[in-house]
Amino acid sequence: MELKPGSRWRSAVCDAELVVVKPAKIPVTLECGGAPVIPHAEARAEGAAVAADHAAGSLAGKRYADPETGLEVLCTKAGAGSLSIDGRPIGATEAKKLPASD
Amino acid sequence: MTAARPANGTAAAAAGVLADLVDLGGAGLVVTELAPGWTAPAVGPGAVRVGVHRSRARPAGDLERFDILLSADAQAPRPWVGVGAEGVDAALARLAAAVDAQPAAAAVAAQVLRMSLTLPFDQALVLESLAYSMLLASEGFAGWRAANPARLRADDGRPRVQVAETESRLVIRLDRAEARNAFDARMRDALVEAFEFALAHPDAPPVELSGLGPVFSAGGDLDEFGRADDAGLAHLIRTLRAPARLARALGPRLAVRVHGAGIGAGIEVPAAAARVTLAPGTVLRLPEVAMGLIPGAGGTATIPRRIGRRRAAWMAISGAEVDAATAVSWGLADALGPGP
Repeated sequence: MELKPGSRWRSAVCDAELVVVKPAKIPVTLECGGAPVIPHAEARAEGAAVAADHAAGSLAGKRYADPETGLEVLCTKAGAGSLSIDGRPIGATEAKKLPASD
Repeated sequence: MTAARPANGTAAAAAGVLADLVDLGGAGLVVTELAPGWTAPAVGPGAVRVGVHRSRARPAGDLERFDILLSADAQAPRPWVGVGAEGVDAALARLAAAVDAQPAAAAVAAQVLRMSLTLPFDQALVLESLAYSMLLASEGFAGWRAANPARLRADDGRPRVQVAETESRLVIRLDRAEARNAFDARMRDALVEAFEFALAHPDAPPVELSGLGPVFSAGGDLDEFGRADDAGLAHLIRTLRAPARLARALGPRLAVRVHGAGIGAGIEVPAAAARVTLAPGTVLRLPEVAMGLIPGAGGTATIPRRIGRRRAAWMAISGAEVDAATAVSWGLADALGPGP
């Protein structure tokens, strides 16, 4: 899969939708719910299920980044599946917290 | 900012300086009765200038020099604040008390509002933050904080903002009902993150902002006021993490539903949106000057762009509550509507 910046993808097994913010430095497979993601324009097949070990969920509005490969995606629609790269789970990046300004 | 309270001798000296400034026209409230043949007094930039219309035709002439214009005609159009014939003296007394209690904050509110509309929106936000940071280091604020000590509240760590997508829109909800959606640093950062998500969304969906619980927002979290111990860094944080700037950047996509109360930031941020609806019975208010500050969540940029600088100055300096019907007639909100 060619994960170009701005390209849009959807989970093959849940409602999650993603847009690529930064590409990976090496070819990778992005998965959601344990299955490779599919282009946004394609419909997902009936009956596919989230793998039990990739079911932590994806949250709309969160960025998911992989320091190892540089891939960063923005989740635009929440889903039951969590993200992984070549089987390796990746987590949401926490926005940097800043102190009170009052 | 925790400043040491001055010794009594220092406070007495400061009171003497303030009295001198008022004598010199450099501070205080200056009221001009706009009867036929009125002339404007020559005063310095630190005086809050109020023009009063009590009877007959509304005065013409150069009203630009006034920060607030009060009219006995309750239906007087912008820029007037119509308080009714029997309301004029009460309004003046309220302003006099506010300026007397916080002379520096009241003057700075008037000054920032004089400048705001002459600047591009983003620059007006920076101007507000500069002024706010200065006031955080002022004795007026230190006095308020000393009289109203902050409480230490436990933080359950729950997200401050919910983001959900429906078929047609992105819904953002303030989620701190137990504190009447008081705006703290975590809520500021979460709302900024949600707005940045909306701005980055490839479908550019419409966005709706509302609050969970009894009110939209009671405003800045008072327990955090005085927490910033570097006014310079606080200024840089405030201008970077500015929900009002992002709300404005969303343009026609953003609608805000305010219910119950919109206090301080609870109306300053909504006023940046293209569309604001108020649930019936909602009250709006800017409380900051009474605390020795000015609106600091963008209100001096967003509110005068909706209602003009004179009505904005009335809200900011008097601290008076504005009811939903008045807010809609002024344009502070666009319509009455259902709550969330």
